[in-house]
Amino acid sequence: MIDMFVTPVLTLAGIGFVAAAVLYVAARFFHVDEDPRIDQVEEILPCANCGACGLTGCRAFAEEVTRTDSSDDFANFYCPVGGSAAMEEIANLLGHTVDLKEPTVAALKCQGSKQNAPPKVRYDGEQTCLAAHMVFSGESGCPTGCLGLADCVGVCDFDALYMDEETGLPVVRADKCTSCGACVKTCPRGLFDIIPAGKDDKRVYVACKNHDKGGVARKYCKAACIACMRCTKVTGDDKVQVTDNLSVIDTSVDVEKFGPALAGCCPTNAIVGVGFKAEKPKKKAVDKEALKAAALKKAAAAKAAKEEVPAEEKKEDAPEEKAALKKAPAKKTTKAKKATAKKASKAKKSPPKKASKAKKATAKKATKAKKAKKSPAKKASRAKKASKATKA
Amino acid sequence: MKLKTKTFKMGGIHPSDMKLTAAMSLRQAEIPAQVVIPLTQHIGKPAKPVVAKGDAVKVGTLIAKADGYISANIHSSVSGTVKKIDDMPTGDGYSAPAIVIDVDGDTWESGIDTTAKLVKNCKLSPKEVMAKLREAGIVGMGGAMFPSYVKLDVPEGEKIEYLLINAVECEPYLTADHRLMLERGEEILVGAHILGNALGVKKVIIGVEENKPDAIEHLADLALNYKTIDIQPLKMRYPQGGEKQLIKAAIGREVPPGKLPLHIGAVVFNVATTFAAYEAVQKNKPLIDRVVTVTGKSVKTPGNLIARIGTSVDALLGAVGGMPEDTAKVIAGGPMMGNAISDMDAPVTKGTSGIVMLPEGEELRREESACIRCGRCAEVCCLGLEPFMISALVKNKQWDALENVYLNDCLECGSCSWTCPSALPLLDRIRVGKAKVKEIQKKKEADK
Repeated sequence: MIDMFVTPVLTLAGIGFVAAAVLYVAARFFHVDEDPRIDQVEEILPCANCGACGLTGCRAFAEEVTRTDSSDDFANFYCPVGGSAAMEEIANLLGHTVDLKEPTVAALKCQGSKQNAPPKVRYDGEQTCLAAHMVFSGESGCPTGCLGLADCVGVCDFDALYMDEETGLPVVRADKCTSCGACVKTCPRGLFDIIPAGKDDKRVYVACKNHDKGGVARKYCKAACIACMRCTKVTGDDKVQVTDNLSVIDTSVDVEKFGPALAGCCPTNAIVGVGFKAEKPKKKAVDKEALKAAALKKAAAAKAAKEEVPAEEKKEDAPEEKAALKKAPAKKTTKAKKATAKKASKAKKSPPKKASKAKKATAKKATKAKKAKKSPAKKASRAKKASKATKA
Repeated sequence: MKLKTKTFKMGGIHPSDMKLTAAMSLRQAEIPAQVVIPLTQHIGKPAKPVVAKGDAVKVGTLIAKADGYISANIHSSVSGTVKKIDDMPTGDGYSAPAIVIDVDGDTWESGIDTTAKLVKNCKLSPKEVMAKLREAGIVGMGGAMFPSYVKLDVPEGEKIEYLLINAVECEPYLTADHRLMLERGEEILVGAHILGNALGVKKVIIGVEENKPDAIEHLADLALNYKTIDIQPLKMRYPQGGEKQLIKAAIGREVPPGKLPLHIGAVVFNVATTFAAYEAVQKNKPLIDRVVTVTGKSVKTPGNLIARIGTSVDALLGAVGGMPEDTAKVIAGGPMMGNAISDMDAPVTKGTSGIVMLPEGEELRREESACIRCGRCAEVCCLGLEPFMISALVKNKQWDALENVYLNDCLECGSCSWTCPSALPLLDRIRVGKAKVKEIQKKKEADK
């Protein structure tokens, strides 16, 4: 009876002691000295393991960063997710000094929403931006516009992106965005940029990446940058420049001072201001009045010119005014022609559009062979089968 | 004489052939008021323009010169003035550099024989034939658009035994090659003979699928006068028009992965390319027009049109009674391998073999569901690939693993997607995978 209990207990206890002894010896002999600061640094890090720092994860970052022996060396490391706060804490821990970096945020540089850039064709291929980008220019036709298939949302580890059903565009939740750059790498059209979040979260940027000429860009999208150059005149220096038909606002521009004017001056609203209201330039109204006044003056001058022998000044005015008169109707007619041409082309392409309305989709498909691939006959037979199935 | 039919061994599907226009003879499409001639109508580097805005050009004037070994000359397909050289929309919605020419009359360059007279004799050396093809900007007109003269430039040490003329036309709907064989049969044979001599082959085999019995008979009759030319009827099977499949079917040889047909002693020319080669060599006519099948179930007057390169799709649709009301998808090329086009201003290029309009209800894919591991995609793959596997790898972004699945051999015939009972976008994913693998390989080379 006693054996039944004593023997197993003693045996197990014996095994336990032997194992403990082996483990103790192993721990002693195979002990690896590790910088205790690694653990401390890791604790400061956000532990998102997103790889935004360029290393494999937060542990790797902690190991590398504790190995640095000068502040210069330390400056090569930056955790965009933890941001300056985390870096400062780590620097204090390691005894380095660090220059604080401005907080940054991801910005989608496209406003090609369903409203601004209405879809003209329908894509029914593989539902990823990567595949769609290879196949065609997009449902709206803009070769640099958002494809709306949410590859970026899929890679965001911080829930900082979501698709707006209404516009069909991804939206950045600035409060959650850590600017890890995953979306920047993923977007096949490079529509995301990491930009400074700005003082008091005020920032201004051009939300378009289309390098086509104004007229062409406008055809795809109401909110495209048309390179009208207006924004370049706002700041009075070269901080806003138009290169290759696209406006670029330097990040060093004084948002407090010029932001509202920059966002307001854009006739297509391609310039987005965050954290303030856009100011429509007042000049415009003045301009209109001035133009009206000028037109009246010119009209009067023209009359005078006809009736009287014009004074020298009037002579100068008159031809200008006539030229203006001539030009105006000419423009109208060309516009009218264009309009009819457009209508005609619309009419031609209307069948697909009807299709699109009917199916909330359009028509001339913009996919490659793939979609095309199913032969009609097979489809027909499939359709028959399907209808049979539904009947059943 | 009834010839024995052959076919390739592995995979393949049988889509309905839908050859609506098989009985409609070739007709000349109207010359449009403006043509847009892209500078990239071939594989390789874009051609370099040699004309400027405002220059007067004639039909056949060289307007862009080949830039490098794998590139092709481009000639004006109309006479008129160069309006601009600019980025113009292509079928996929992206813009590509093109030369826009306003048409004025129809004056041809002197030196081009515009008569229909058959010129049989050719005493040119292989080098001269090659130079003629290069000069005329002949490229593969089956769709791959590979510069043809390069195929005649056989590397030393390789011996070409067979010249295969690809007259399979296995794509549903398309009948351009079929009509060409019936109406320009003699010219095709002369072209095949010239190309065969240039390559020094012992046998020229013209492979035709048996759904074109009239073409087989016609060519077989004509071929009695040519000792080296054989007509080979082939069983109907898609994608028999693929280069490797045709070789397997006609001469029973297999092209190893990563190798070219010439490594196993064969060269393949498309039948339309052969005709263009005849015109280039015997008539001095550069590649400025081609037969385009414009068709679709609801198209009023479908047909096989001889269209000038650069004619817009819109203009061609006008020639067949306009786009039908119920059109839901327009495809450049055949429905299996062609590309759906989103811009009707896109031009006809050297590789456009057809314009197919699919009516509503036929254009959309079915909804994708889960892979049921039935293996049908692997069964129909004519190369023995495993599309379901590739699809899974791409979906899960296992880019590194893709390098070892012979992805680059895929000819993108689409049989896998066509067959898939779950309607998986298999070919879409294979294409993405192909692009990724190329990217990785480029990076590796750059690192070296």
